Amino acid sequence: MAASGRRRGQAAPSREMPFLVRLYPRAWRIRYGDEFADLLAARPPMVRDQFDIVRAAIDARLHPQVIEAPARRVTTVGDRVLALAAVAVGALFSAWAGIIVSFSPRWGEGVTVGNDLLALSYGLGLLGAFVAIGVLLGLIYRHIEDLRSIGTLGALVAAAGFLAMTGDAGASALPLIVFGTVGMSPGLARAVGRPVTTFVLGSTLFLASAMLGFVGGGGQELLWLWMLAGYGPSWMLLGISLRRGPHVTITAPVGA
Amino acid sequence: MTEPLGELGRFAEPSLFILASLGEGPKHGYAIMTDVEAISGQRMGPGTLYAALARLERRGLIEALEPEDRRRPYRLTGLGATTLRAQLQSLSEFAKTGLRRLEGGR
Repeated sequence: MAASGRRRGQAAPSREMPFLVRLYPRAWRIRYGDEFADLLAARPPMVRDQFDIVRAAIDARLHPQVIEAPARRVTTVGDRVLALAAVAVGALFSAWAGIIVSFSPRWGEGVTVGNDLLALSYGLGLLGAFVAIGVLLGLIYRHIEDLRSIGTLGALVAAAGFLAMTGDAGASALPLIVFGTVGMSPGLARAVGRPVTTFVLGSTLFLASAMLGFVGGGGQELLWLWMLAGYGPSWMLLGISLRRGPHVTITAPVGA
Repeated sequence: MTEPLGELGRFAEPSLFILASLGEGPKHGYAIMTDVEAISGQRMGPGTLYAALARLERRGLIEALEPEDRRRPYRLTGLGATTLRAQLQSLSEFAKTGLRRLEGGR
């Protein structure tokens, strides 16, 4: 199968490009940079090779053979599954909160839902947390070029937060989720755009504020209402945005 | 119909060597470079190699395959094979004519 595509971000490749490779134009580096750097690593250039490379780099600038096509998105079945899973996370969190909000008989005096419904709602929440871990790992797998190192670390921290939520370390879940979401925000903005990222980050911070009592007067009503109508929908919106897949930069022969 | 490699200027000869190297099957850049040195006795600089590869790929004479780690193999296209055959036949005719004249002139 012939191939000429390269993901965005690989113009700055996994390993540092030798200085000689950086003499070439960007489109050339995207297309040939990795393999050329590998060739130079396999056989370090002698002085006359270095002159040959400089001459060829000048030629590549004067007579370009490849051009950089506009970035586009490539969608796979995996992206659709990831999108669906993120929507499911939102639906599960909203359902969790929805049960508590709807069936609490003395709303205004805190959460007073019955034991069976409480167990059901927390079950949905736990399931949502497990799926959220999968979504965050899938996000890293499919969007690592956009997330970059800080965003990847942020996603891992957030995933650790959701893991803590399902176990005995519940107290550490909130800071991990908040710091993780903040950390992955710049990368998430590159992957799904600023408006969606702002909604996801804003809803997470607001949820944390409600949980800590900074808003809502320390009661749990605002927390659950926001989980239902803000935080859950933010995951759904994230899922809808993820269905388009990651950016891919394509290089093409000049004149093709 | 094949385009002559002569239009590639100073990259015409390296391009012919690359096509000849790929004649036996797909190879990545380093393998092409060492193979060309073996069959031609000439050292090909890495800059020249990739300048020629880019020109051959642009003209549809070779195509890139999926990368193996950071190494990307190339293979001849149908057009590349036809062009290589035409170039080699032309060179063969040229060599025969030269040798015949050399022997006739003795």
